[in-house]
Amino acid sequence: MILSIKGLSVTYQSDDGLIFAVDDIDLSLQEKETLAIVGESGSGKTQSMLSIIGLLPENAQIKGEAFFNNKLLFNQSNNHAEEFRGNEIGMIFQDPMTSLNPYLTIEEQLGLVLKKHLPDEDHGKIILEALNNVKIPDAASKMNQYPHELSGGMRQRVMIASVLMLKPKILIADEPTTALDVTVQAQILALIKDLKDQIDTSIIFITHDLGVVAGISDRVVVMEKGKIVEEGAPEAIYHAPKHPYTQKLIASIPRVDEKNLHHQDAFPNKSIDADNISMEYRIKKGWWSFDTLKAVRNVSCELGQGEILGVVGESGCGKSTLAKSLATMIYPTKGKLKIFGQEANIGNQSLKKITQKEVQMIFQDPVSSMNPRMNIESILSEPLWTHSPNLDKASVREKVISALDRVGLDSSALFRYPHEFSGGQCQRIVIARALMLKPKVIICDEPVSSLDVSIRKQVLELLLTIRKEINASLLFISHDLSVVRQVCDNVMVMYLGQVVEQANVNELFDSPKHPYTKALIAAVPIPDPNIQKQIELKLMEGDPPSPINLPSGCSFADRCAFKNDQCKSEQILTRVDSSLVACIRAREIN
Amino acid sequence: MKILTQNPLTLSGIIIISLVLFIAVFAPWLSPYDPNYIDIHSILLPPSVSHFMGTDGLGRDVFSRMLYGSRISLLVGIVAVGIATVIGTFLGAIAGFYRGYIDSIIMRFVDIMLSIPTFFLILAVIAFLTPSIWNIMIVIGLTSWMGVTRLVRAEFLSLRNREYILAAEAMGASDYRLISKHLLPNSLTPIIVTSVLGIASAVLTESGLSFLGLGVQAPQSSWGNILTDGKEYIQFAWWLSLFPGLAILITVLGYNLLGEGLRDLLDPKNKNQRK
Ligand SMILES: Nc1ncnc2c1ncn2[C@@H]1O[C@H](COP(=O)(O)OP(=O)(O)O)[C@@H](O)[C@H]1O
Ligand code: SF4
Ligand SMILES: [Mg+2]
Repeated sequence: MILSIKGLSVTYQSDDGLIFAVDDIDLSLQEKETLAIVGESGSGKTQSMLSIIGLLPENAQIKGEAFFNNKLLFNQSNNHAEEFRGNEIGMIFQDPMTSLNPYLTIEEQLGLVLKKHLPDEDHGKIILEALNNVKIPDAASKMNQYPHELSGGMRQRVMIASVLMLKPKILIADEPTTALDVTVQAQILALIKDLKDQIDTSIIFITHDLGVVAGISDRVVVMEKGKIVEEGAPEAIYHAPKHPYTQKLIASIPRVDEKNLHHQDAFPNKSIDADNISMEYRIKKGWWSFDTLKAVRNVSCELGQGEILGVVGESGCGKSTLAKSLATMIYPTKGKLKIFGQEANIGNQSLKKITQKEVQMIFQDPVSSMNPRMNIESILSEPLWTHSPNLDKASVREKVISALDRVGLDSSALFRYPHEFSGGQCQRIVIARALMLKPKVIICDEPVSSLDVSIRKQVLELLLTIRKEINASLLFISHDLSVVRQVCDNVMVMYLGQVVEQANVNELFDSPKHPYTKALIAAVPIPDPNIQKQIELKLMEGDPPSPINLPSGCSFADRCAFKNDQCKSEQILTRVDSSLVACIRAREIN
Repeated sequence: MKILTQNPLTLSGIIIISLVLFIAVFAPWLSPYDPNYIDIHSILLPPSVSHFMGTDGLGRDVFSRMLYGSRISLLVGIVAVGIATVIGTFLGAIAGFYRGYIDSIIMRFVDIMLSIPTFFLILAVIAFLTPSIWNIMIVIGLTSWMGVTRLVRAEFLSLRNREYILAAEAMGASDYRLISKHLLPNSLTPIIVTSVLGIASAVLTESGLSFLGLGVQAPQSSWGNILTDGKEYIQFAWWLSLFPGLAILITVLGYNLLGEGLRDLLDPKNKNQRK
């Protein structure tokens, strides 16, 4: 046993008394074991791990004791945790950008770590070897780059390398893939899986996403409100959860490999019709010169009345830009966009008036989409200010209360402020605001990505009910493919500003035709250890190229496993079976 | 408020400023003499029980003049900073909200204003106008808004892409509403901090101008012109320089302590410390 924790509690003094961040947990870790700690935000996962590397804030009070290899880490009276940090126990965090110093090159950063722990060795050599171990391509040249010049996935690899080069006995990874796209997440998971076999390090993998750890963990610990509620082999946890909380958690995970049973196909009335639209941003290069960034390229799509259209793709592929154009917050630079039958362009201000009422947006982070200084009543009555300025106070309040009621909140919320609500409640309030004007179209940009899994399900169900009630169309943007599968009627997949595949939801997920769609779907971890442990991940390497200097020909070519000479021409959407696919070889490879 | 008073430095700032406020408001009741009453029989008396801070070259009671002088320094601080804050906020809001050319023009103007040493600019302007307390306040206000402009602009630029601003915009909120209901209220705290710090420098500037004889004119008393009077007698009437000097020092310190305290309090990075 390499780590043993007994009776650990971490408490904070607050105005309302003691807060138990961690509440009397026992935990052990065997040599070479991969332990997953799963729980929703605030369940105490990070706090319990920070305690064993001595990084808890000063005002935290620790109870209990912990041993590393039978040596004391801390107990009631002594705390030696700091002496083990780095060389014996290493930790990486969710957002590598915040753990890296933006002013130092990779070599300098890692050099600093080595200077502290291994002052006498050849740093250059150790760093290069560490970077190679985490499969950073072209490691020698990456050493001289700055963190912001690397992609999120590369930065996370650098962080892993910086921890592993000291050959610690324990690696703690705190949500290391949460901020990453699925494809990159799959790469990091595969890396961790590989490392497991090659090195003698035990791994503690913290996550809120049960799917992520199904394939890599030897044992799973489920935490709720600071307590460990269940512990066991992944097979037992996933297939026969005992504790009601674990059961609820497992039941609330949407599955990318299960059919969507309530989707609809035909939507005769069109709300929005985009014909070959493109959108460009001008990026300042020097004093006078600009680069053109093509955020959306030749996209055609239709949104029917009552339809839920999913848009998926990696971050930066143009999803949000497309969404903004449908709300006439920006206008296409090319192509024709028709909203409710009218053409959208800067000259058409009357359409803008209409869309401000009929097209509402819901953003990813509900807390930051509300003005922190307004109370809920003011927030919800905001749209009425502009669109029905003559309403008297009593009827405004009536409308606000009925909107709150529809999303399952009552009038006690009226005079409270956004920070007094949980993330899930905030998203309900944001949805209530979007409903104030009874819109015809609701654009949801990653509406559940920042929510915990169990709350996610409730919010999704709320959205589905609402669409039924007011027959609104939803544009549902998400990088979470499992959610898209369970919610949408039709789906389009975007890559570098283009639509590469478009089909109805079950067609797209059951028989993806574009190589990118295939890779994307294959990268989604399935919350079932029996399946996930067997899948030999067919990984898509690399990151998308920069949208400023687009490669000619098929834009997916440099990551595509099926590329050949035919792919040098520009690809356009063509029908293959019932899907539209932008790949010249689609018929051959399917 | 509770948190504000926890830091001993901030607390002393609050006490100093409250004291100055109190003195300024109640000067007529607190002062033992008419501040402008010339008594040629008691010229340059050192501090004593009947004259706490002595008398000046015209036999006026320095203590009473100091009390009345606090009104000037308070008035100048508040009005000048008020003018600067209004101008600065207005320009900064427009620059940060509309961006583009308007922003470039306003910010170049700010750069130009900043490249001229403020004190000399004020001197130059005052030289053309009759020196009076109102002119002083207006001129200080008109030459010290640049910091606020930069601050408000930066604040607006960073808030501009927040989702709640986008949400309000998407729902058709007018520019005026976006600025007044969403952007300004959320930029208020840093504006308050700079304003409080700005008062300190306005007080200093006024003292400097009065000292040079370009500020508040006799017989009205201000800490700056008491100092000027004291200059002539510095060898044998130390009290004429010491008390106004100390008063200016302590008041400026008070505003700075309060400003810094507010900044720490409002800086989200210090949240954990406060728990
Ligand atoms: N205001 C902007 N100015 C310049 N570039 C932008 C702006 N907004 C987005 N982009 C760029 O446009 C591309 C598409 O962005 P976005 O639509 O936000 O993608 P997604 O929503 O799929 O993550 C990205 O390369 C992004 O960096
Ligand atoms: S066109 Fe060629 S490179 Fe592009 S996706 Fe199809 S096979 Fe791959
Ligand atoms: Mg986005």
